[in-house]
Amino acid sequence: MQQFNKLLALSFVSAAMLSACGGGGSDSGSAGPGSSARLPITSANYVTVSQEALSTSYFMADSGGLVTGAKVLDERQLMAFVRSQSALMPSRLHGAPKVVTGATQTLTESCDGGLGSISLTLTDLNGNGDLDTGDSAAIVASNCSFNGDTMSGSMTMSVASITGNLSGTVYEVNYNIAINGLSVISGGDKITGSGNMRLGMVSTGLNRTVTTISVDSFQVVGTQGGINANRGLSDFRFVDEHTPSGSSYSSAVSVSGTLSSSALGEQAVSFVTAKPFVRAGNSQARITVQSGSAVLLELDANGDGSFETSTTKPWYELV
Amino acid sequence: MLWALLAVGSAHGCQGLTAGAALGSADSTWQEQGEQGQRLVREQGRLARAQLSAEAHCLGWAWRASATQARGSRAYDGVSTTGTSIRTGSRIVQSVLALDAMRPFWPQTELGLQAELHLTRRDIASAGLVLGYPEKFQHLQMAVGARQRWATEGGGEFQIEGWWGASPWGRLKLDLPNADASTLPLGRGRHWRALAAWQAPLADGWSWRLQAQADSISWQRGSSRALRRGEVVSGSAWQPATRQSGWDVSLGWTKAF
Repeated sequence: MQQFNKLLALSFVSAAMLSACGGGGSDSGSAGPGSSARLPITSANYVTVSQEALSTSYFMADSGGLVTGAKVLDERQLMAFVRSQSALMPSRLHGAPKVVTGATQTLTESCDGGLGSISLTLTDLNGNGDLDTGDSAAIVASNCSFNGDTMSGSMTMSVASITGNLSGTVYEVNYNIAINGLSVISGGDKITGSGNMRLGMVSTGLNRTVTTISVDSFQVVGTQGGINANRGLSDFRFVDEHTPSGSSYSSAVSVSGTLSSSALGEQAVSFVTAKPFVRAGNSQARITVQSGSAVLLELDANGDGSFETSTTKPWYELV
Repeated sequence: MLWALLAVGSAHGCQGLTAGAALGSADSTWQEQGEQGQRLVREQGRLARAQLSAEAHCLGWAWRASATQARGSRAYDGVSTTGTSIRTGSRIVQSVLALDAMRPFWPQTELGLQAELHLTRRDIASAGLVLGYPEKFQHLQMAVGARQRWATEGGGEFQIEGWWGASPWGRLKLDLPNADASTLPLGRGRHWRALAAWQAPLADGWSWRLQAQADSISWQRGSSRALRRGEVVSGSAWQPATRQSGWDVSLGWTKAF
């Protein structure tokens, strides 16, 4: 189980690993599917578009973050909470009092420092205390202290399928996760997320895994420093494939999806790894990893295949 | 600046002009708390401290100006923005410009006012994938205080001081790796300082001075500000409720002119 939890955590950090090792070669992208309000990419906005596309991918997948000096609030806290609840599900089922087969039981847990609570409705279909297909957890956070912030709202997780042994190195597990108005509140600011996603992990051996996050639709709205902002993500897919490399592993990441946000004037762009990273209409932006720390942003404003404008940014400025 | 003050004081008929220098070691603790009182960060470490000072009696008041710098590092025990426990370190450079004025109200007892400008650079180191960043704090402290003196054998003196006050202004310049630089206001601050010193004469106007002091300042949570990358709001930040405390011991020499 420890290895499973480690993989669960790693599934969210691998994009950062890509930047660290340049794994997967250049990340570039191409035109996404059509959209009713497609944002033209120009020399005035291609850096912003690239930042939004990358940072959105990262807030879904990254567990790196910043040290706490000043307190910083962004969408990552939402996903950090979802991650923590996902990691706890096997142990919660295992530790729950044994009841009759198929029974649903409701438990209440205190949050960090005894501040606030989480109400859990656990369903263990066969009552064996292990994670099985159909088992589920409904989680309601009530002013729940988490990492210095306050969480309120609900999410549900259910096991869509599971085979193998999570304590070993050969297994496959798929979760369905629904987030319903889950809010992180801190310093007078508030960010609320809602949407559905699927998390899949396939392990076929030591350091040989494929992790997939598929998001049908996910909306984030918030007030940050008194300013309202929102992001919408749809048809998002994040795939991280680990293969053995020496005593560790190498990682190849691919990302695709459609993003709209207040930063993009509520218009949409689609992005996909491998070949132009971002494209809208005829215009396209390409993002290429230069090294472990630098990323080249290029703009082809008229779609003629020639990238006429470029700039190099540190990776950390983009995510 | 101190030498300029001495020159100005001398030109305006001030008496009892002295200049001093001191070296010391300070134990520094920094703690940040979340809104529900939970601990977010605790840092502790030792800073090397150097101080230059000048004193004079002018217009019926005893004036003292000082410039202090402390440097060192603190061990950081906190959490990342995504909830991971982090142990790393921070490098600290603190500079303080202080001016206080005291006048006697009872034999051996003086009351006075103090103003201090504090500049602190705190550079938190990265820890693996969790990125660190530099912070620059600036704040003013205003205080009222009292000093009691006792003469000791051989022409020396033992004194204690106590100061209580507030921080009417403070700000934090924040340079996060994934956002443009921003400035955050600090919340209201309160502070106190207690000091004991023993001073004894040497020859030719020289004296030595052994001093120990403890102090603490607490800020309430500051209001939040939007973080931006270019024109894009990428998050928000604020300074949590923070308490900085410490004690230090220093040894110095003064010269009377």
